[in-house]
Amino acid sequence: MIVSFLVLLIIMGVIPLGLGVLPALFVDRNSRSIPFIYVAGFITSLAVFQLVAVPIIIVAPFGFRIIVPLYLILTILLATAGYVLMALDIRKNGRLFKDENATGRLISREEKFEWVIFFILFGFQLIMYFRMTSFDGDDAYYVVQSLLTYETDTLYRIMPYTGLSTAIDLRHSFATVPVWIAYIAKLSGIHPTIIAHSVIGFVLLTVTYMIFYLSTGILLKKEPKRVPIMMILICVLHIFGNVSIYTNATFLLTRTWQGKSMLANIAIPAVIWLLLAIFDTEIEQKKRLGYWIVLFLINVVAAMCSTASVFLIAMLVGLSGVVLTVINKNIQILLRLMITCVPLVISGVLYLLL
Amino acid sequence: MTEILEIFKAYNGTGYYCILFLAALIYLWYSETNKTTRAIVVITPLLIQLIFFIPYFYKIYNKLDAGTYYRILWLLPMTLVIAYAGCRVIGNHVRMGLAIVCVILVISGTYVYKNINITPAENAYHLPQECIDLCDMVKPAEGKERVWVAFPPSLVHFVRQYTTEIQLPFGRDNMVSTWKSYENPLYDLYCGSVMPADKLSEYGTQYNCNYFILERKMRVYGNLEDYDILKIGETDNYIVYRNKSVPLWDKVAE
Repeated sequence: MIVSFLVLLIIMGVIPLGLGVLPALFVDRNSRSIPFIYVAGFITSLAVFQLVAVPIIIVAPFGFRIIVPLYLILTILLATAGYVLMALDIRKNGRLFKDENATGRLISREEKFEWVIFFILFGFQLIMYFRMTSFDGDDAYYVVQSLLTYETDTLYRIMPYTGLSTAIDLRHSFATVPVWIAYIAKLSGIHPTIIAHSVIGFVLLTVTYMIFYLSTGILLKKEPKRVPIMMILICVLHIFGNVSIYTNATFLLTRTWQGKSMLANIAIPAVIWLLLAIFDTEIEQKKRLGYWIVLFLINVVAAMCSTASVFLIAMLVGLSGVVLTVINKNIQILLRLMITCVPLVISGVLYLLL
Repeated sequence: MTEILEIFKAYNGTGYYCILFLAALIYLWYSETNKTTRAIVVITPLLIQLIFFIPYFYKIYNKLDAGTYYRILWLLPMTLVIAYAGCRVIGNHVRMGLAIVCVILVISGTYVYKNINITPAENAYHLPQECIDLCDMVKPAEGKERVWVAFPPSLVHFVRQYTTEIQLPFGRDNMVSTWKSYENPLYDLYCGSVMPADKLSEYGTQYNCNYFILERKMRVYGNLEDYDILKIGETDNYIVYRNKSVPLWDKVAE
């Protein structure tokens, strides 16, 4: 149990933080924060997984036994590189983040109280994720796919519903979230169904709220004391967002572990956060390359979430690009955004060809 | 167009978040001065909303991924926009304003944990404990090959989330009427209220079923033992039978 917890801490905490340093080194020091580094690292880790897993899924029926060591070694190497570069950066500049003593502001008692309310609401969602069962028929596909991968090392070659062998299921095989969950299960030694239903939600909900926190920080840059108020409202909107079975809030809190939910609640909000961060000229930033890198990587991750993601994310990035281009009268914006969409195009073409 | 409207209505369901979102967009349209914020959280969502209602777009999308058109609405940052507008509307009346906005959101929405599909978890797997108990009774012993077990339709979603050592003669794909699945006479038998012993034996053996799980309330017509189907266990709501006509195989050494 303790070993499993430590393994989870390393693969879901230490490694993503190390990976997140890599894009963080390419953004302004003032924009660096633990949430930024963790979210960027988490997205990087998923993107690396997608790049490793998809070719193996296509060519190797029993490829899970290749994916596990290959991905583990790659992420350890990249995270180590991140930590080494972080140490060098701190050695050179004396700090990794902005100088809080020089630029920081005092947090009022009221603001602290609002943060407490936010954390109570956030904690409530975590507890409910762990304590409540949410029945969803799609689990008979996605969760079983994780378990099949974990138990048999096969990749999308067995029908989850019955157990009969089948040809590779290409429609779903690009969406590698079930294989990623199997990977976490394999390293931690915890059953994949427990990982999906009782463990991974803690990470995914945290990432979702970190992304909202980062977006909120940009929207309320002139009134940072209001950030906890907005975070409270976001919690309430999620907890009471079950107006139908289709909303992103319903997916967030009832199907947290599924790729579709990751699309609605991680990939799409992350794109909006990154667009705000990249194009907000009111924020003094000399370096924005790190945001572009994360945007490129989230477009790799999009295909990992679900088949429709490729189209949806391309539509969001494309439309935002057109609007920003018209408003700023700068065609370069659209061209640059199109470059970040290359992973989506490749995924789409592969899907159509195969 | 009617279909699109139906999808839109189904997405927005019972609450009023759609109206709040529209109100928030209008408010931000007039009050937001930052052009990047306007572009990303006001103009782009409005464009997405307009495109959503274009019938040709709906047709093209359906060719790519039928049945998931509602996901276009995920691109609308409803949560972010409503929360941002709410935060700004509050102004300097923080406590009272926050309380009022929260009340509006609570009244306009639906509490997610009130959903009928959400129940207290019985174990860390979040699967019905009775299903796990049944699986433990029939799953293959060490060194034995995977088994085929016919479960009642109400349990087929859960069985293989616990162990894939159990294979099912019919699964979720048989239960969704809109999916193109092969006819399965064993599944049809399980959907009835009476189970004819002879048919269960015939179809069960045809599908290589080593075990049958029957609901306790299911009436069996005929004597199962006459067909080498023996009761080996039970739970509160189900009875477990071994179909002796289908042998349990040893695993072939790799």
